[in-house]
Amino acid sequence: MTPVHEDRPTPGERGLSAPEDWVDRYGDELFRYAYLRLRDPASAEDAVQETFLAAFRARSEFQGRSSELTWLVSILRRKIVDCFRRAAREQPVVDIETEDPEADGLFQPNGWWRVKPGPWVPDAGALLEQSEFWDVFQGCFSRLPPRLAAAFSLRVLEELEPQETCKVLGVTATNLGVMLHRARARLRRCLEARWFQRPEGE
Amino acid sequence: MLSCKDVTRLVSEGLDRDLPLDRRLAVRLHVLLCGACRAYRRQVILLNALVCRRFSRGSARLPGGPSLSAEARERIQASLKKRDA
Repeated sequence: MTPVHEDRPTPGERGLSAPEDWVDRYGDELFRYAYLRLRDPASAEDAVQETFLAAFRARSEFQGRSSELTWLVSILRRKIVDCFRRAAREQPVVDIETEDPEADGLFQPNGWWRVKPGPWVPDAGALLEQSEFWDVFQGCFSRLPPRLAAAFSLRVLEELEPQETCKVLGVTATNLGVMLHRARARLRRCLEARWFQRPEGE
Repeated sequence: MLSCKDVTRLVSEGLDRDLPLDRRLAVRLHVLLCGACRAYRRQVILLNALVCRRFSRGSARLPGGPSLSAEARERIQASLKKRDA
């Protein structure tokens, strides 16, 4: 798998493959990683490009303690956070506190359920391996409004601390709480409709 | 007593921080009595755990899915070469 590049064994590049091979080797995986989180092919491509360029500049710092892919992903993760930060600056959140019409439809005015959750109980172990389920998940995720998706990406997919997520998105802790709650509620509802309660139980 | 709407909000909050004891107890009492919220809570917590396991840090290896377009590949390749020179 690892071709030897005898022509370029520069010191400080221990274990690092030749940069001209990076795109073929890791491009698709990095793109998928970025695309899932950013949900936009152009932004994902830009993030991958920035990652390779940053990796090239920092190639002497590669320690060889982690795999190349892991190293590249750690750079990509910072680029993804940067991308969300830029987007948040361009379009700051205003009045997030206004009620969410979709969420409101779920409840009666007194706060009790209007549309109760279904009785489905997922078999976690089986679902984890089922690629069709994750296709449906991505479909549901792609339907989230941008801000909710950004909050979910950073906090849940990237596992940033809530405080850090607030900083990146430029929102208060309360706002972030509302955004994450809505994102989770919508994903749950979408998965219920499209997977757990499909008309003909597969 | 908390409304179901309050409970859904607290279930989400509980995934991001430790809730104060009185909130925790109030949620526990509510779901004891309310099947819908019990289901909601279980489902949201489980989906969260599934997503965390599937996409946990560094697991870039997602089989299938979209790939870099030929144009992007070339563009990135070219930008790297420029740096390389």
